[in-house]
Amino acid sequence: MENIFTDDKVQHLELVLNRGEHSTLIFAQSTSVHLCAKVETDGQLNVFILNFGGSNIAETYNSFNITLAGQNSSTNVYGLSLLDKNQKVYNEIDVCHKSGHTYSRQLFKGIFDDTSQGKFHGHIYVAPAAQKIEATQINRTILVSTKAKFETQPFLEIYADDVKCSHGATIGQFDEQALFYLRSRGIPLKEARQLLMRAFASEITAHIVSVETQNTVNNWIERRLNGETVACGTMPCKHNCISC
Amino acid sequence: MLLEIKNLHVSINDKEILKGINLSVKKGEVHALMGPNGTGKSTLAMAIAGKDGYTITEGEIIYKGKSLLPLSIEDRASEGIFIGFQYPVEISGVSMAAFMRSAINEQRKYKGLDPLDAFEFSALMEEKKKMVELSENLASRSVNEGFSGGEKKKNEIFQMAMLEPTLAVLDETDSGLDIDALRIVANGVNNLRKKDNAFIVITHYQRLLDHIVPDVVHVLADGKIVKTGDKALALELEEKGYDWVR
Ligand SMILES: Nc1ncnc2c1ncn2[C@@H]1O[C@H](COP(=O)(O)OP(=O)(O)O)[C@@H](O)[C@H]1O
Ligand SMILES: [Mg+2]
Repeated sequence: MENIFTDDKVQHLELVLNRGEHSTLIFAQSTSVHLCAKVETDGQLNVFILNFGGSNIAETYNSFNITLAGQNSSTNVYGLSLLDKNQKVYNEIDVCHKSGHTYSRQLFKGIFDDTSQGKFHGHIYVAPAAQKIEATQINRTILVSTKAKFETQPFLEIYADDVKCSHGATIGQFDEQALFYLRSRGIPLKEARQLLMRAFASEITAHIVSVETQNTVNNWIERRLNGETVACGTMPCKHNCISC
Repeated sequence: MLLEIKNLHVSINDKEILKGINLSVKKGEVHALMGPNGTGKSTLAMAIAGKDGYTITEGEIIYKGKSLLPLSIEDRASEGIFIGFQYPVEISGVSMAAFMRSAINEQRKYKGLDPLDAFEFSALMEEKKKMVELSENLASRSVNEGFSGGEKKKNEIFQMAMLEPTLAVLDETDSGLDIDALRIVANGVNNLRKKDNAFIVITHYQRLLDHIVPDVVHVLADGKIVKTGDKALALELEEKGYDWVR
């Protein structure tokens, strides 16, 4: 099952995935999302949190609380923020490994321009009885302007001993060597940056299983990179704005 | 004259690396640039490319009768300058096809030409790929990512073949290549050699110059060209070593 949310209204969702159920939720909206989910045995929850700015909503606060309750349940939480102006995105992810043999991955990437800001709070909790679990958390951020800000707060709380947990965070700029190489072949700086941004974003969208949905999301990103939706309130545009 | 470098001084982090280079290249010529490690050969290539951090403190680079120095990196490329880098950069997630299509079409835009469409572009890529014997799936591979040393060098030649530059500077494109790869690189250059373009080939080895016969050979030592001659100079260097010219 796959659901895309593009409504520009605050979402409060509660979800239980029963035994063996798989679900993919894609949120492409600038309004906040609050999700509370429980995944039973053999279930899998995939979440994509896409923030492409271009909205008159200046501040987005997302919270995702996911409990892996049954054996062999798993969750993949992906985030992609492409922000500019003075927009702010806060993502708070809490993954609770309640049962043993459960698997989680958090992969959050963001590019922040102008005076935009982001915060990532990624919490992994492993209950005392939850042996043989695997959890990863990766956070990669590019700050395009010197005024953009990003804060990352990994928080690992592990009470079992037979676990594989890893986390890593980087905050940096565009790869200068890569930009130079692209430019040395005649690609102007702006287009060279776009190539790198597209590559950066594709590491997230590559995980969207449905080819059709992946194309839709890549299209939005393309338009976002071309600055087309900046004037518009929602993403994707439902208002037939001239600029969209 | 295609390229005239006059009394060029280049510093990196306030340290002078090039100390007055004079070099003139005519259309149709191949120049070999030789010399010990660390004498500034790559620095010269980077200064021609326009890389940040390579500060020109004195002198000029005249290309096609105009100063190159005010031009951006990308405009130099669109004016026909190509550098085959000693250490090609890996770019994860950017496919060779996306990279080359953007490069070709941006250069065409600069010249006021229409972009190549997807079919024209694929046909061109196929044709040039054969020439350098690069893998079938080259188009979808990320730029230089996971390429072997030899593949990276062949990929530089491939890009050169795609972009058909007027002035190509090949910085140790032959280093670390086996005989087959060396032949491919040399053939690449020889196929592209024309009356109206020129090459500066930076190399340590006579073996490349057996395949690409240079018109002029220069020896760079400590930031200066200390000797210039014809192809016999390269042979003499091979025999006597660099100490002989220093
Ligand atoms: N980024 C850099 N920062 C400081 N020194 C550098 C840098 N790049 C090169 N150099 C120095 O410049 C000199 C010339 O280097 P290079 O042009 O790479 O020589 P070559 O290509 O002839 O081996 C060397 O002494 C090297 O250490
Ligand atoms: Mg060098």
